[in-house]
Amino acid sequence: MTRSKKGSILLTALWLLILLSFLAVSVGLRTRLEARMMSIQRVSDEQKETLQSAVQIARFLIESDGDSDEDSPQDPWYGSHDLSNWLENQSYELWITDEESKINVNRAPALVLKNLFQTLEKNGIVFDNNPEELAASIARWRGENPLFGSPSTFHQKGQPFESMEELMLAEKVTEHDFDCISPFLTVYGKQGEQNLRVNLNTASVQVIEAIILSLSGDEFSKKEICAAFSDFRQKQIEGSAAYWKLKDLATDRILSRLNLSSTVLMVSLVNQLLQFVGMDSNYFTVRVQKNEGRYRPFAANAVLGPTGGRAVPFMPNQMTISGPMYYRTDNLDTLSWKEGV
Amino acid sequence: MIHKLTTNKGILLIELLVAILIAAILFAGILTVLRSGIAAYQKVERLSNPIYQTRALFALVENQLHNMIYYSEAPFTGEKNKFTFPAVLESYSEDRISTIPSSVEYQYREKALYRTEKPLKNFFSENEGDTKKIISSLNSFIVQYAYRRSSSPEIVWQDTWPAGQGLPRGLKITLSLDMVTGKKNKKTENFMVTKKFFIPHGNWGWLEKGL
Repeated sequence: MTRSKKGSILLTALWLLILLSFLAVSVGLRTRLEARMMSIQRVSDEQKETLQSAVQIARFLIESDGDSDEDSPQDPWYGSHDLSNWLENQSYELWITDEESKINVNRAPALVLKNLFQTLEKNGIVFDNNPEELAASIARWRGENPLFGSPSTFHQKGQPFESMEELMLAEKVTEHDFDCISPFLTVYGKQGEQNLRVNLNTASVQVIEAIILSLSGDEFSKKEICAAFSDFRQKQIEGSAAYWKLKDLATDRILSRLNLSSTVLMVSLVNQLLQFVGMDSNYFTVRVQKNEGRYRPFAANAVLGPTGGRAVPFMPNQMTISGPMYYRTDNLDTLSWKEGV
Repeated sequence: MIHKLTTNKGILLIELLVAILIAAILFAGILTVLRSGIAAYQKVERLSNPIYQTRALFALVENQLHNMIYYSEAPFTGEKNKFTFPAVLESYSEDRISTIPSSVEYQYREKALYRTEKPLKNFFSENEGDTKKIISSLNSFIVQYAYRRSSSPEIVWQDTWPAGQGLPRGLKITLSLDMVTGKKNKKTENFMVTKKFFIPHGNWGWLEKGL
């Protein structure tokens, strides 16, 4: 045997080895890609199912509230919930709040909307358009002709808002403006009621301030009440003051709990305010979010409320909810749904 | 040692021929395996392509249906071969995700499925919307909508969903397309798939006329 012959065998063997390993690597890569695609599909299916389950858990938490006439942040359903007790090995977070903590965009007078946006602007929120124009656009979309804002020939719907996203269709409301104002607004409210009514326990300080500033009365007294409510909320959060009860919905009770003097101006303002506040919440926002994981975080936002409680009735008027036996037995229905990142 | 190497006479012709023969047989064997492997892979890919296509379509439709909104100026309307709905669509750009309320239409015509997206802002302007062909060479595309009778929990699938009923609770899409199974004779098989979509915030259609 010679050295050169030994070399040729080695060379052939090496070539074969290279060819075979190429084949193996390409098969391996392809299989990995397929497996990954399948696992993404599986994870996304699983996440969607989990979001549905989490909303059912929220429904259960809300429905097991004992005193449903008096809703406050102390109720067991309110705030964030860890779902690890319910869904094993899953780190999902559930957040529930009530829609009555927000201003009803269909029932609020244009002035309240303007005051809300101005209050938000004072608190450091920068809008694309000025608060006056925003409020005027929203009022015009509903078919009103507000006293402020510049005139326009834009197509107006002339009907109430059916979903929150519809706000973006109003003339001056940009997507950024929508992101800024949507946490303070809702399209859902108790059926049959005409007035704007917010839950005094859950409404944010800005919402209460916007309503107080829209009442008729002198500016100094309004500012005093706003400041008193703001201090009182701070105490409630710290735990040194109790949340409002139904029996507190009287002028003298509110004034005494807020430590305000019963002057004629104050009494008149609180009397007016009582028409716009309550304690009962019927519509709830549910947010479910996946906290961690290999894939992009996934979340769903839903609004739960009484069956048939959509902003604009969609069912024929003759339809009765109570009659037939196969209607949904639970009184909370999913009214809106949005999912995404 | 050096002397011995330099006086090497080299390899015989017969040795070379044998080596080439062995190599040829080996290569022929490997090549056959490789070729049949590639052919099998191509066949699987031909078969799986429509499956992936429909899976991607269904994932997209489901996502859009879940993000539908109630909007009576451009309401949900459904027929056998097309359906239109208002939804919030996400559009991704370099630094942010923006949401755009849009009217979306899926329509089956001339053996293809088309999707039209049109922003709802300034909806009544002359803007035609953006139409794209999503799947071609479809044999059929049938959409059905979930209805019920108040006396029974059973779902009845119907071919239309008139405007003014809000959003449907359920949607069923059945589509069929040709799948090429043979490479040379272009032999095709009909591939049919059905998917039901559940819409959390939708409502049932009711079959009773009196209600």
